Amino acid sequence: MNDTSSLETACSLFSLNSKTNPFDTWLIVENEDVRRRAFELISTPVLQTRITTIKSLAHTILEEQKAGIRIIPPEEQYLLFSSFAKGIFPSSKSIIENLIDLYITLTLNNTDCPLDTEKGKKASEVFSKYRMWCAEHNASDAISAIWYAIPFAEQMKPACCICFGLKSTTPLAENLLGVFSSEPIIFDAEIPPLSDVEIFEYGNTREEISQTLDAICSLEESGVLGDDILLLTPTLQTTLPILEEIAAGFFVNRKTPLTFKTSERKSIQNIPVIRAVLAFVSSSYNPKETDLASILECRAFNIKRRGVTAGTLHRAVKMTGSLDWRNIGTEEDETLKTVLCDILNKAEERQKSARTMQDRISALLDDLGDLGWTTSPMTKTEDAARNAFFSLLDRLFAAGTSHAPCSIQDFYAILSRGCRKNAGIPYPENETAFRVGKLRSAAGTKTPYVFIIGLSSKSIPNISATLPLLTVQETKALLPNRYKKSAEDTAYYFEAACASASRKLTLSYAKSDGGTSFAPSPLLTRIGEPNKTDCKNPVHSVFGCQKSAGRCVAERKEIDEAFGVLDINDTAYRISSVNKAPSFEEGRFLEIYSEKKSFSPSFLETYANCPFSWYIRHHLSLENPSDFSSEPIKIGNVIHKVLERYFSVHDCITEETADLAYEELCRLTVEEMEKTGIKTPSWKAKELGYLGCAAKDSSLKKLIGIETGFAKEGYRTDSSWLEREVEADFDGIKVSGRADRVIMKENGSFMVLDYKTGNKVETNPKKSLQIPIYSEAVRQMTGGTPSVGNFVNITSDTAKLSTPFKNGADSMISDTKKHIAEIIELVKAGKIGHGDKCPDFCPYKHICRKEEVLSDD
Amino acid sequence: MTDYTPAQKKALELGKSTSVTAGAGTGKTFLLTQRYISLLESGAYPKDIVALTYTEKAASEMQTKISHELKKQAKTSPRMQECLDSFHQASISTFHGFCLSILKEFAYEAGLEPGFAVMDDLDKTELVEDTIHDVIENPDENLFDALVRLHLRMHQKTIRSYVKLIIENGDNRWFELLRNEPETVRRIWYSGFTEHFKIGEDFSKLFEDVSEQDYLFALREMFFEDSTNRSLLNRLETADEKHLKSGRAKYLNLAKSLRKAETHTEIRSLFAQYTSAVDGKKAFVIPDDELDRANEFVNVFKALPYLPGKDSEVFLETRNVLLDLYDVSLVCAKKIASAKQRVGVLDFDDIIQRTDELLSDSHPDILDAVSSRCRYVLVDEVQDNDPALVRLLRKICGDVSKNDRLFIVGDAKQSIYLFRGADSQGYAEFQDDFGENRTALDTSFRSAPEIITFVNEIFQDIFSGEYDPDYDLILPNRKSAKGSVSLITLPQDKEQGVENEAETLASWIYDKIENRKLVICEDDGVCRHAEYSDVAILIRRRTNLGKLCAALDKYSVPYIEDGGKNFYQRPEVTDLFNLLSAILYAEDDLALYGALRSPYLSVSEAELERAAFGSHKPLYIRLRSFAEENKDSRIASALAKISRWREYAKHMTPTLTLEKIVSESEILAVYAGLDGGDRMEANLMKLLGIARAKAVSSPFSLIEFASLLEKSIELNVSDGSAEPLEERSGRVRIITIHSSKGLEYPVVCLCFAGEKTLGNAKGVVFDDTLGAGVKIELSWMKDKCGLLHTALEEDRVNREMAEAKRLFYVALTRARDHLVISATAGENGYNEKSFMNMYEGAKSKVSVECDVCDGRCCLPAKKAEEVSYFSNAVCVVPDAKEEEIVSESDSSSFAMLRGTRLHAVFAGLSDDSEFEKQYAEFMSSSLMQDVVFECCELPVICGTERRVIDRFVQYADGTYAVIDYKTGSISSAKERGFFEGYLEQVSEYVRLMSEITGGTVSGWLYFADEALDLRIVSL
Repeated sequence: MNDTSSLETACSLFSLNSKTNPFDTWLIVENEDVRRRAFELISTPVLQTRITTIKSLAHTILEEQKAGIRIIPPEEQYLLFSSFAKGIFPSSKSIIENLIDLYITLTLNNTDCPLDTEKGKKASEVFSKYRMWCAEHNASDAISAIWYAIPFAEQMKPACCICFGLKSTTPLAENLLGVFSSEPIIFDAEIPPLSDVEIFEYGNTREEISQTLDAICSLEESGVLGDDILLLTPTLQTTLPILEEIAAGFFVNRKTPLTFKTSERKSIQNIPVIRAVLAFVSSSYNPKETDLASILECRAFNIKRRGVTAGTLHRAVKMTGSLDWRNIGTEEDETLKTVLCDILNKAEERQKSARTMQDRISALLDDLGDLGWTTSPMTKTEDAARNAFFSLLDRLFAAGTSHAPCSIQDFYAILSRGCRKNAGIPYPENETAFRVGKLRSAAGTKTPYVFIIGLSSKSIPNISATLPLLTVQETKALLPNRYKKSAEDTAYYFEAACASASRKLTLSYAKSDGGTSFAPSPLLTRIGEPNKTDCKNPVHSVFGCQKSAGRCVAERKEIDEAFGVLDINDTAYRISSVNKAPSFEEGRFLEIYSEKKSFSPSFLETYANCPFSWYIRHHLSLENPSDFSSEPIKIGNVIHKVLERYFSVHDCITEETADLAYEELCRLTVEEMEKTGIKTPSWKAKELGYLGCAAKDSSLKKLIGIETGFAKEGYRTDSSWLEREVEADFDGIKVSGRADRVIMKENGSFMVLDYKTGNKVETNPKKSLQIPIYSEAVRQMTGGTPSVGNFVNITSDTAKLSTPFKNGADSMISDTKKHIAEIIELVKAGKIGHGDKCPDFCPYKHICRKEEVLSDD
Repeated sequence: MTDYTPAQKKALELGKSTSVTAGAGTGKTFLLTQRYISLLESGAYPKDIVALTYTEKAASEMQTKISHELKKQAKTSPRMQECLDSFHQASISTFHGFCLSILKEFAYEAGLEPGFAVMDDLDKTELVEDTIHDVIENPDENLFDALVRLHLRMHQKTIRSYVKLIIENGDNRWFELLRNEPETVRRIWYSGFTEHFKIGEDFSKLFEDVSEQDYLFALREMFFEDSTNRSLLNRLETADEKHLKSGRAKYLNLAKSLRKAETHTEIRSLFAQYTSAVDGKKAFVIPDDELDRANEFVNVFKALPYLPGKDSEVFLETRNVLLDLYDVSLVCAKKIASAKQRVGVLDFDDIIQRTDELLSDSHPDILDAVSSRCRYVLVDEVQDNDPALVRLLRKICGDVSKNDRLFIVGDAKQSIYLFRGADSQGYAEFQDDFGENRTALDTSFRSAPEIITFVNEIFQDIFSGEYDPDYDLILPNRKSAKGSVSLITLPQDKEQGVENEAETLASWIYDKIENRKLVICEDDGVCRHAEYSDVAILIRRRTNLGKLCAALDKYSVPYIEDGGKNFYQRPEVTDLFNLLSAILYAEDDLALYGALRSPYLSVSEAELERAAFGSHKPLYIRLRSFAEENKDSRIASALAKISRWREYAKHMTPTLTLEKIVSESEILAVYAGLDGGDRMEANLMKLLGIARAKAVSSPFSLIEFASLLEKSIELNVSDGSAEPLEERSGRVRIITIHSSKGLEYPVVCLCFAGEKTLGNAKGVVFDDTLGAGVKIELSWMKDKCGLLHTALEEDRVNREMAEAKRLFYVALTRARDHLVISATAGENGYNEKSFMNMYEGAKSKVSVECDVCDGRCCLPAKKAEEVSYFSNAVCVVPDAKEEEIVSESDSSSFAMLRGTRLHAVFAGLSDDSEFEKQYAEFMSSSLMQDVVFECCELPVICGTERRVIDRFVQYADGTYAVIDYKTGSISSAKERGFFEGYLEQVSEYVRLMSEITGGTVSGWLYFADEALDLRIVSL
């Protein structure tokens, strides 16, 4: 019997027959969504196995007829294919996936792999190994189960078999159906003419989904039940994650969160408690900062953290630049090292001796037990994810190849894949949840309001001209009508989905997914031309309402109610305060700094360079970990130390002592550089630069040239004037700091030297305060006569003297005195603007908002 | 019926392959669409035609247009209906998309992972940068010395960028030659050099095969033997001070010193002095008859520092540096390739390269298959594609002079992607393939006659160099439109030049729009006054964008930046990064501070300062103390939000956490209230999209997202800002010339046209003939020298100048009705490499009357007042409940797993020996006697509720039983409070099965460990 009707009719017939013959009445539908819909339509209890898809029918037959065939789960099938493909194909994950897909397609079509190509032969070899294994172990995958079920199906002889909407059955399925029931009652899904249709074009996918959800909220607010609304998409797998995110911001009647229900499940891989377990496995062979951080932050692990957090680790990485996890951090970071050692030891210990998949699963379970993860309190979602993860482990443990050797890398890859593809949890839903499905899920069903989104030409029809691994020709040779049939099926399901709307149909596509541009699907334009929509603010979304509120504030319009906004005055304040130059209470800085009479040169110099930078470093004393890490900073310390050590023993370098001095300076440099423990090529090159080599003259020799010049002029270094704390009094303002070195003549004249190991030396006297400050300090301390101080710029490339002070020592000091007074006045006035010219690298670049600040006082 | 111009008609004639040159605005997209339709009319089907465009956007637009046209025609033509029905088989894509589809199909044959993925730029940059960093920081032993040598010669940053360039270039032939046959390379360089510097044969003989030391002395001899030099030097030495130009007296003793010089360094330096004296007649007046010969020597002297003579230090150093860089890049490239292979990905460059390899002679069958499938190929914007496209098209389409398969549309005048490898020279050669089958569209449907005349007149003159295309005049179609061309020319102003120009332009726009001085004619003939949204300001680069925006702000001209600055440097990105860091890493002082003062939390500087000042403890500790004492403060509320978000981060997926943060921070309300907020929102959404895409492909945590952002910000990964969906109308658009390609605007203002248009040469240069070169530092040279850089510089500049001319053309031809060019002169007029200089050169030929403006048109109006606050609005916050953490899990994993295994054994699915005894006991228990029918794990559905009954049996007496197995003991179940639940569960099962079967059903709990059955209920 053939009839064209809706699912309701088929379900009624099923219910009627089921009353007398519950175990012998069957309703066979095309997919899980229709099946779910059928259960909803029949509100009385039914045996789940009796409303079935063909795949599930095969399972039920095998189970009930006690065929004794074990159905292997997808992850086991993957493992089996991996093991059989090894040595035949390069062992890569995607070839395995493709082989499986090809195997499934061929099985469903009752056909074999072509053997006229090398890859065909190889694939056949893998398939035959797999089939042999299945036969030996009395096992079958979900698809082959249809084939296995055929002989058993003959014995079932159902009293009533209703087939609904089986439009695109495969030859294999037809074989099974043929023997299962000789006189099935067949309903083809009805495709009535379209009624009320609207077609929209949206700018991007996010907008499309937002506008659709907004319309759904409106419907629900008008009293339409969630069950009466259906959202369909040709690309369910990619739509669901974004739908879940966006729906979280939508509310019905401004209080009930909008949710949806679907037969698809949500992957668990990114739920933090699961991600932490994956990170733990990965850390056993390839620890990374992000993984260790995930472990440290996972409260489900009862690790003795001793105050160590992801932040502690991050700081240590920034400060040291090291990736040696067991020794990371500075000396003070002993706790961090201990905690990381504990984690890594734990991650490695059991896995080290594990060889097979079973060993690894047991080891992981034991570790998770020890870590308290298995019993830790969790949210409902996390608990569901944990259970799904356990089930995955169970299935992997029971897999036929689980006793075979399995590397830890493979174990991680299989776990990740399993968490992404095979271990899912339901999407959260509530009583108002509307339904979401793919196009074919709606065939033959009726829903008052249907929205079909994502109708771009890239998504529908989206028929691959090829089977996995095969080319177009090879595919055509194997299944000549495949493409045509797929195209017809797609068109049919699209039409059927459109026809499932009993009151209103809304179709849409987005011009872009944020990156790729799309054209409307030809199936869509066949129905009508899309209307370009004005992008409206969705009124049921928190985002939409917030945006409206923000706009009203900007346009100074009155707002009656600002849904989704905590405090409209706060919004107004935030809008008006964005990118404003810093301002403080009047007198605030005066209050802090008026009594301050003692300053460091760095305090003043930093302000002279960039007041904002001064504010962060000196006023607020915020820590910047990168201040501790880079090689330039370390080389500075090395050179200061070398020169301090040398001149603490020698008072000068003369032409006569130059050779000895060179030797000694080289020795000291090598010693000090070694102490840092750095062993990079750039560090070695620096050393060679200082010491000299074929490619580069020694910069230490150049320094000696400078030093012999000082000696010739009569300058000597007293060891007490090395790295010495000095203080200058500028009319009551005291500035103290550590002078690198002061050289003196017998007549009492002296010169302050400041070592610079970077490539840039300050040339602006206003920004270079240390030399004049120290000069004045030494003058005040010794009564000597200052000469113009110098920067001794000693890098691995060169050594040279330079000074920004061109007008003599007196002017140098007096000008600086003025600058200091000016700076202190500016500080007291709280002038926290930005420097006129930013350096190439500034650690505060991303917080200063200099470019955003429109006006700066 | 469509009216075609004669040129269009010719282009649409089928039966031969055709190359069409389509000047700006001449309707090339229309033509391509028509050609496609014509092919369908002639019997082809969509699957037979491949249409290739330069961008995805262009591809989807073309697809939409063709589909529209098809649909229109399908109403009356069954043939077109058939084509429409199979239009989904049409291949309309970018060149990359086309190659990708070939590779996907022939992945196995191409030696690729089937199902390989394509890396986006972000991933690629991350992989390349990380690999190079890793190799440079932690090299293998055999690379260590090479890296030390490189570090001795250049900064690490430079090494990285050079290595990257060499990897990108990918052609190793020259490096191998350099390694294996240095003398061959030296000779090639030498002859390339002498040719480039126009060094005469007499000189080149002198140098070849002589060491550097020797040839300098030999050259001195030659120098003094030359009569012209002698006379010149003589006059130089005997000249009175007054005959010398001021400050040139230093050359007086040049000859003497040169004669006396004993070292080659001295000679080199004195030659340089001579060069300086003679070059451009700087030191004294040289008679014309002596100048040529003097210049010959000057050329030689100029070339000397770079001359790759025998044992030349420059050559040896260059070779060593290049080989060291090559070795490092080889290791990096290998690591990058194996990383890509490990995860099964290709980057965009790989796609082209691998397709090229696949369609080579080694796979004739594949080439045949692809070629026969692509019966017709239509290509848009051919001038912008790189040589690989031409290579592939030639392979696929064969000899196009003899067939009808290929139809290309391009315009050499609009080739502006030299920096991406677009090959305008190659395009010209490709056009030759078409023989006579070439045509040019000559009618502009876009610009007003005044603009077309202006463009015709100046570009006829400008396009006259070696690398310039021929210029064919464009004819105006919009004859009735009244357009204008205006020039804003400003005198030099060293301090405020850019600001002044920007403000003058802003005042011009303000004046013209506000005072309704510009009229726009629409296609339907209706005229209206121009609005701000009709205006586009085109800029060459973004350097002075800030100043331009400030000027527009000053004049209250509403504007929107197209693309904006680099995405990862946008405040929307850095603000979110700071916030995430503050959430994930409480210890990060700077991130926390940045987050607090960002618009996410907007804590005032004053409050932050009060809370943070006076302590050296971590910032969050200081702020926490402050918050405890000031519970109503913004800091307290901000910290509460951060800790709430920290909890989300611990329990929710990264993408949901991000959504929650965006929603609860109300950041979109703030962005909506700001100027340019649409773009900020779009950028934020783009960021969420990036997180989502990453989350779908592999396990991904919020920490990983933060780390990805950190790297992208640090490396300044190249990515453009997102396009806002909903642009508030009435804004001037600021757009780069490159981005404006293919677009048109009623009013176009080309800004900063007096500035230099060229960039600097890349660190490593490559040349087909001369190989690769790099700049290096030599102790005896003042500046870094680059052997090939020097030789290739002139050619590079010429090529880039030619590209600059094309950019100028593209810029001017975007204008529909009104064109404005603004420029500021420098000390010596306009920069010689500026657009304005090009215009100046052609100015005499311009017959169009240009409005000239040389100062502000008006003063800025007073700014609007600041936003006021609200007092009466009611704020409503949705009360969505957060998921609470459930108490201690109700079952230990052990018990749970044991239960699962027991059920599997009892269902006959497993033969776990642990439960062997229990199973036997169960099967022999009274419950299982007289069973005539049984089902294990029987699922029952009621509406949406699903139950699974462990065992459902029917006895011989026709009654049924539901059996539920349990592990553990009754007493422990009672102790743990589970027992009541078990009872309810079985009762529910009994009720369901009674309803389904309509018979008598009893319910049983079976405690397997105790072999105890317990009758619960019977209905």
